Amino acid sequence: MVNGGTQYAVVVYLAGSFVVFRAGSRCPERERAYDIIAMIVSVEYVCRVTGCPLSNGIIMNYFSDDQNPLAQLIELKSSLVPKNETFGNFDLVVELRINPDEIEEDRIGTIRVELLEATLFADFSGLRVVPKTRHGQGETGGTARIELQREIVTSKTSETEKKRSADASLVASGVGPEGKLGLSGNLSKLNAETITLRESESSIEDFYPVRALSDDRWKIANREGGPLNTAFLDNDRLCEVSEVQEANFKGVVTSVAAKQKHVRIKLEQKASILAAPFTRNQQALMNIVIAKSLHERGQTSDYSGFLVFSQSTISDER
Amino acid sequence: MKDSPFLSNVLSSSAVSGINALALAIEETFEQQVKLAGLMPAQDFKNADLWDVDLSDSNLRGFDFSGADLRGATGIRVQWDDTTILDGAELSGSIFAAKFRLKIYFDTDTQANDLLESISRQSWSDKILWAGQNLLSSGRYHEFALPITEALFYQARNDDFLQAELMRYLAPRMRSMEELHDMLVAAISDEPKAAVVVRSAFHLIQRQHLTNATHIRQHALMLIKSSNRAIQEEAVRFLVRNRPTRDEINTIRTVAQFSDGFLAGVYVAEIARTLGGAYEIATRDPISNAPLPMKTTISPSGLNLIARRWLRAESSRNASDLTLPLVQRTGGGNYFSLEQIEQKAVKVKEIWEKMKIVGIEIGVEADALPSHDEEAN
Repeated sequence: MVNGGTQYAVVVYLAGSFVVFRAGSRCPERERAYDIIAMIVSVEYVCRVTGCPLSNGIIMNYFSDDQNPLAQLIELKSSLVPKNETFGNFDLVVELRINPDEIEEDRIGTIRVELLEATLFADFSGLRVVPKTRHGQGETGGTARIELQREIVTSKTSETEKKRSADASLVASGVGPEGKLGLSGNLSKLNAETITLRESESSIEDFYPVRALSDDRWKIANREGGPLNTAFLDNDRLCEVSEVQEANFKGVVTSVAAKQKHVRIKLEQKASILAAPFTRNQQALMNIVIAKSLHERGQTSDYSGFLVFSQSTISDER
Repeated sequence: MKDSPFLSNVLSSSAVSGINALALAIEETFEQQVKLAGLMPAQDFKNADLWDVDLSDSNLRGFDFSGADLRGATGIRVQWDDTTILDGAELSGSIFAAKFRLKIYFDTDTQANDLLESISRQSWSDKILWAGQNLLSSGRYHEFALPITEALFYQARNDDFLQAELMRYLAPRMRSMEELHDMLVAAISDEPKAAVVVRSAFHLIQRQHLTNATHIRQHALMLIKSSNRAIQEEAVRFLVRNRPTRDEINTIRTVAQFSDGFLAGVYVAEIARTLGGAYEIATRDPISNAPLPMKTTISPSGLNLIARRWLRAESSRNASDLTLPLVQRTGGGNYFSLEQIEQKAVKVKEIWEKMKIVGIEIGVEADALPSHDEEAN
C-alpha cells in the first residue's frame, strides 16, 4: 500500500503483478484499512463472477474437461456458473445429447447402437448440492397428484306401449241390418329411471426424462421406453452447489453410464465374413464383447457390466 | 477439423477376434462360446442381456450374473452352485427361477432352514410321510411344508421314485401358475436319470394346460438330445402330440436323422400316429410291427404284406377290435384278391409319398433302382 497524499490508492499484488485501485480520499488511518479490505473482497467477488485471471491464488476458478470418445452416440458437457445472488454458490450446468448411431467396422460389418436407459451421475469434491435444487425431482415425500373422476349416469327409460286391438264385426240379417261392433283396447305404460354413480381414482405422477435418484444420480429414460434419441439437457441446471470452504480440492466429475442390458446392439454382419445368421447365444455374447470394447475405448477402469460413455470433469486445478 | 462425422473402426482388435471366433461357434455350448469370445465369467456378465440363452451342458460356477436379464434362459445339464451369483438378476421363466426363489427363502428364514436340514437327513419314506402330513392344513409345520417339499424335490435328483412322488404332492399346491411353470422347467432342466420324472412332469404340464409354454417346449426339444432313450421318447411324444410347430418338427427330424435308429423310429411312429391309422399301418414293419426307419426301401413282397395287413385290419369285425386303431387290430380275414392287394399297395405308396414332406422317405426296392433313361444319361 502506498500513501498517495491527498488521494491514495491501494496496490494489491495479485497474480504476479501489481494492480492499483483507487481507494478513496482523506480517510483516517483505520477507515483506510477497512476500505482496502472491502476493496479486496469486492475484487475477489468480481473475479469470481467474471473468471478474471487476477483471481489466481485468491479466488477459485473452475476448468472443464469433457471426454466424449463416442460423441456421435453420447455427448456430455458441463460447467459451473456462479450464482449472482449467493456468493460461493454455482449452478452445475449440463448439456447431454443421446442418439442412436451406427459404427462402421471394416472387419465385421455395421453395428447399430441404441441406448434404452442411461444414468447420469456426479461425484462432488469440496462441493455440496444445495437442497431442493436437483433437476427432475418431484415434490418431496413422493406426493402424487390424485385425480378423482366422478361420473353420474342417469338413464331414464320411458316406454309407452300402446296396444290397441279393434275387433269389429257386422252381421246382416234378413230383417234389416243388425249391427254388432266390438272394440277392445289395451294400453300399457312403463317408466324406468336408473341412476348410476361411477367413481374412479387415478394417480398422476409427473414423468421426468432426467429423474433425480439417490446418491447424486439421474436416470435418463423415455416415457414410453424405446431408444434414447434427444437432447435431454441443453445447458440446463442439473443442480446448484455450494463450496465447502475448508476443502482443499473442489470439483465435480459428471459421467454417463448404461448397463449392458440397456444397450441395444445390432450387427449387420459382412456376408463375406460372417455368413450364417447368429443364434441367440452368439448374439447375446457378441453384444457383451462389443459393449466391453466400447467401454474400454474411453475408460481405463475395467468393464464391470456397465459402459461409461462420457465424462466431464470440472476442477479448480488445471 | 473433424476427421469424420461418423463412427468407424472403434472396436479393439481383441473384440473383433472374439466376434469372428463366436461367428464360427454355432454348435458350441455357452461355456465354450464364452471362452472363444474372450469374456471373463467373474465380471463381464454383470447387468448382461442374456434373455432366452441356452445354457445346456455348461458349467456356470464362478459366473457373476448380478443384475443380468436371464429371463427365459433355458438349458439341460447346467452346473451351477453358490458361486454362481444371481443377485438382482431377472430370472422369471428361467431354469434358475424356482431354485433361486427357494434359496432366498431359506437364507432369510432360519427356522425353515433348520427344519429342512433335519428332514433332509431322513429316509425317503420319512420324507414322503413328512410332506404328506405337513402339506395338509392341519400339519404341524404346514407353514413351511410347501418350500421344504419343493427343496426336497430338487435334492432328490438321484431318486426318481421320491422325486416323482413329491412332484405329485407339489403340483396342485403351487401358489401360482408361474411358480408351477418354474418348478417344472427346473425339473426337466435337471434331466433326471430315469424317464419317470420327465413323464410325470409332461403329464402335469398337459393337465395344467401349459403345453404351449414356450420355455417348456424349448426344454422338451433339448431333451431329444438326451443320452437316455426313454427320455428322448417322452420328449418326442410330448412335442408331436401337442401341436408341434414346423420348426420343432424340423429340429426333431434333423436330430433323428443323425442319431441311431431308435429316435428315428420314435419320430416315424409319432408322426404317423398324429396323421391317422392308415399312416400308422403304412409305416410299420408288417411282421414285427416296429416303425420303419426314416429312410428305407422295402421289397415288393413287403409292400404287399403291408397292403394285406391293412385289408385284414379293416375287415375285422371283432367287437374288441373295432375300438382299436388299425395298427392294433388282430382279427379280420386272410383271403384277399390280387386286385384288392394291388389297390391297397397303391394307397400305401401314396401315403409314403405324402410323408416325404416330413422327411420320412420309404420306397419299394424297384423304385430305388435307376431308370433306363438315367442310366443312359
